[in-house]
Amino acid sequence: MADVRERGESIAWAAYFLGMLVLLTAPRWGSAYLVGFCVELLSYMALVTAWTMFSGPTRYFSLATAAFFGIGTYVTVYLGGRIPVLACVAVAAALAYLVASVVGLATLRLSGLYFVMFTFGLSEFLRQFVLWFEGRLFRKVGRIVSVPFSDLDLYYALWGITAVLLLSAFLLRRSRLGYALRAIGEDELAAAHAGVNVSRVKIGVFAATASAMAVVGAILAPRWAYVLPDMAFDPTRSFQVVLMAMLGGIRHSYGPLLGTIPLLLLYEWLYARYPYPFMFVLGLLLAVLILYAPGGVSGMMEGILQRAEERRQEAMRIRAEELGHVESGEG
Amino acid sequence: MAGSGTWVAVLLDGLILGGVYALIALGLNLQYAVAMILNLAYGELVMLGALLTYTLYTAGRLSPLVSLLAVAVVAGGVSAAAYLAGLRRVFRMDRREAEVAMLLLTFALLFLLQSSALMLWGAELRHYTFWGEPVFLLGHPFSTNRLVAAAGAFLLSGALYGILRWSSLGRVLRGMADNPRAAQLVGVEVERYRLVAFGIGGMLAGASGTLLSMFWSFSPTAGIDVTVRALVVIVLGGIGSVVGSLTAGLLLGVAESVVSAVWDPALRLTVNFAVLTGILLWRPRGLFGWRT
Amino acid sequence: MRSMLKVLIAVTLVALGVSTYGYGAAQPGGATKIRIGVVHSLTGPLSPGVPEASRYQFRIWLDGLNKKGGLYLKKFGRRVPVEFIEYDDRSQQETLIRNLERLILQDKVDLILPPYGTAMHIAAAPIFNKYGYPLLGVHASAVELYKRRHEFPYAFWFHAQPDVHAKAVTDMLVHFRRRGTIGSKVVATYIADQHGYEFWPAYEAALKRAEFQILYVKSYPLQVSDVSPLIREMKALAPDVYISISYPSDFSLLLEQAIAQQFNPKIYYGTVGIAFGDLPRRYGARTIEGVMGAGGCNPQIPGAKEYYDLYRKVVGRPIECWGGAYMPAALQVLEQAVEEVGEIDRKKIRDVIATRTFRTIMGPIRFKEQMNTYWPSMIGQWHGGQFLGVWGLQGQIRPMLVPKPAWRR
Repeated sequence: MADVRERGESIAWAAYFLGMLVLLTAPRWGSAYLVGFCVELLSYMALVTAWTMFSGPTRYFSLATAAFFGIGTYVTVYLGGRIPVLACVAVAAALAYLVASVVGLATLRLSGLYFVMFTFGLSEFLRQFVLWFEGRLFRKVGRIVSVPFSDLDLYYALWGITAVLLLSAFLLRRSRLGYALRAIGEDELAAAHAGVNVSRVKIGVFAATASAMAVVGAILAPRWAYVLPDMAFDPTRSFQVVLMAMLGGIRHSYGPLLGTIPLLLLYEWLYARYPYPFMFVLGLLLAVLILYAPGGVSGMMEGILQRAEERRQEAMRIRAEELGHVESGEG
Repeated sequence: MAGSGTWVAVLLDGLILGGVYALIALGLNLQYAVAMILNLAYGELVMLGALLTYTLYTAGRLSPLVSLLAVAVVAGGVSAAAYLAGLRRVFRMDRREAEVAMLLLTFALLFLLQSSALMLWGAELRHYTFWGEPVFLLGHPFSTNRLVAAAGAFLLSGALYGILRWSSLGRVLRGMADNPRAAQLVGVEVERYRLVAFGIGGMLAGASGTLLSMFWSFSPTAGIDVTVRALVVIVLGGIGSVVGSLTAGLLLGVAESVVSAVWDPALRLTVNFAVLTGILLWRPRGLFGWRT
Repeated sequence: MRSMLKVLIAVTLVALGVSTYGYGAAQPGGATKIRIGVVHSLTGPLSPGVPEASRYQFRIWLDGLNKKGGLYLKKFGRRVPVEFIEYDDRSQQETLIRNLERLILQDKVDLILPPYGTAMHIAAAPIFNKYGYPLLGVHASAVELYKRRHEFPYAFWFHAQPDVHAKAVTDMLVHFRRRGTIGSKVVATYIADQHGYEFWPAYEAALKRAEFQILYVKSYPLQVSDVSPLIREMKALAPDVYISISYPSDFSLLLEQAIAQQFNPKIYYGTVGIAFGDLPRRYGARTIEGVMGAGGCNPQIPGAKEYYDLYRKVVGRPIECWGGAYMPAALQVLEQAVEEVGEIDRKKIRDVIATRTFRTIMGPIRFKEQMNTYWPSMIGQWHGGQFLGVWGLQGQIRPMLVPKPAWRR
């Protein structure tokens, strides 16, 4: 059923392409509220795509999203008054790349839950450290952000990084690097024997995606009125990204966004007015969905397409039989 | 800092705090190592225990020690129900799907439990004090309630270790954890034992919630912090190792206490995560990890 | 399973539809209904503070209003019922900002009640100001906000600045030192957060100026789990005064350890957490007798006692006698301002708030340059299960219990 899978992929990626076009034009026709929502949408689309590029195929589930996002945020907060924001973005990308490379090197021997908790520990360490640092050195905890960066520029910059990430994810799946990542996910030892330079692939992709996360953080920073380490390094962000990606389904490259967009819509509309009952309903929905479609939303979609295809083939078979009967002169 | 007397106090403070950390981790370790379910909603069970104890104490005048068993049973019941209602299906899925499904299902359980607690108790911090009087160890006063929690950790860890090591039930559970398929082949009703392990893990969560509630403030939104704390301890100690999580808890507690006394109390939490990441770099399976 | 999924999805879609339907067309200007909105943290890490700081007070106010028939608008010559719209910001600034805009642009609310926490106020102030909605800044105390108040003419700030608190505390300490009741040895702890970083330097400066010896000062992080070593170290120094710049959970930890270790400074003073109505039930009224802190309730102010009793009846606990008690006062300011203007004209309402004196349960509140100038009590003390105001700007206002009796059980 490979062509069913391909059809699903094509539909999804076409939809994303169209969606991105719509999002590109949103500031022109959308209300302030809608554009604000699109900013949140784009930022999570970017973070989830970046996360999935590494953690999806390799199954190394990282909780360091908050760490790299926070690095990006603080780079802009510290330097944004002095150098243009896009320069801050470059610095953030470079810094995150460096940190992630070091972390990657250090954690080559870690796997499974140990890797997960290490990345979480890293994120929390940074949060606590910045808290302590700001407190000790500057006797403050939060910073009022006044970085000159127009809302429109911010929106387009964010759209830009999201587009780059989506394009990268799209290209990655059929590339050698993509295969290498999936091979590592299947069986790391076998992959090494097959000639994959496991360390370099792991560290390289981890660091590149970390860079992207930092870029998102750096771009969004001017939107904060007031930045606290708890907000910039908010661990909930890491969990949300994992939740969204898995809900969408990490088996396919197009999966995670199918979790991100519906979840954000649900949060936006239902959470705000009746947070407690809808958290409950969300729990139920999630549980039932996963029991019914363990592959996530994308798995469910694929299932639907599969059954449609089977029905079509079944119909064709019946037609062929009927024709056969006619030809052989029966009936 | 005044002299060797204070060092004793600092160390004991650290050991008691460490005991509390180990207590928190116990149930999760059991659930993960034996039932093979990484329960992200673990902290919600602990909070549930704390909130129930609070209500029984403030409205019903029931001492926490009396409600301990009832609360543990409720928490265990909730866990068992969650297992039967959905979590057990995870084991019929193929391994890759199972991983993701397990995380998402426990996420779902988290939402269900937290929203229920929010609707029943509201978001505000709850707090009560029980057994706040001091107990003197080596001349220094320590709160009785914390000591009881730490002692609880040692007792329960010891009991768990004993059961796992020397009883026939323990042999079965360890066999299951080591090689579930082989266990199945030998005729072990793996499914039932998983339910038992998950349920007992839940009971331990509820019980630790009761003990913690005697001295910590708690609210329905604080569950995730507890889960994280427990995860740190079991990863640091090595998943599945009872000795490991006890040692890890103590190590974290003492490290916090010493850094606070010698350097800066504001660094307490930074130290926690520095220890975690540091130890993992040195020993990628945790201090006593035996599971691969 | 499949059918259950379908049911759940259907339920969700219906709920989505219902919620996006919105509140129907409102009459702007409140001819038939006055819409009052609020965005605050019902979930997330900031949520524990919201119920007792503002949410119960909002409910009580709105219920009270609607029992009367609503807010009285001179323009229509009658009371107009009030409709309440509440959104959760999930403790996230972005969500707060978006939902504020939703309230203003989509739900077209007439008035907006304040959010919770300093970070949220900093994020909210520009929005309130841009669209011209008065902001009653009760649960915010950033020095930064006060410094920039001219940028936000629609924002009004209720609490006293840290240095005003510091001066009051130091004056009180000097008073008792002069009488020979206490000496000059002070120890302090402060939380390594906004509140601590703003309050402690002010206290330190004031104490040093008055020639008090600060023997020990340490800070600790927000989620600290154990403070036993801090209490131990302070006890060993046998100080006269202990100043605890804290938040509720760490305040409890410190208090419990102080009781357990019998740390008995002659004056025990705390900031946030000291005034919670829960304290007597938790520790026993006799145990906390004499503990001091910022704030303090003054039941003798007209209307105050009635309100405290009503709050206690509705919520089940006494009101928090600092920030919590300022919220009903702020709501009184709003109500009186609206009634004076006689219609929903937010610019006029803002101008009235800026210039008039308001009779509230926290006394005659009057703003100068958008900052409140009247506080009935700067320091409160626990007397017989009540946290009463004992020291105001002009000095002692009630007999005080100094030294604090040793912790009793």
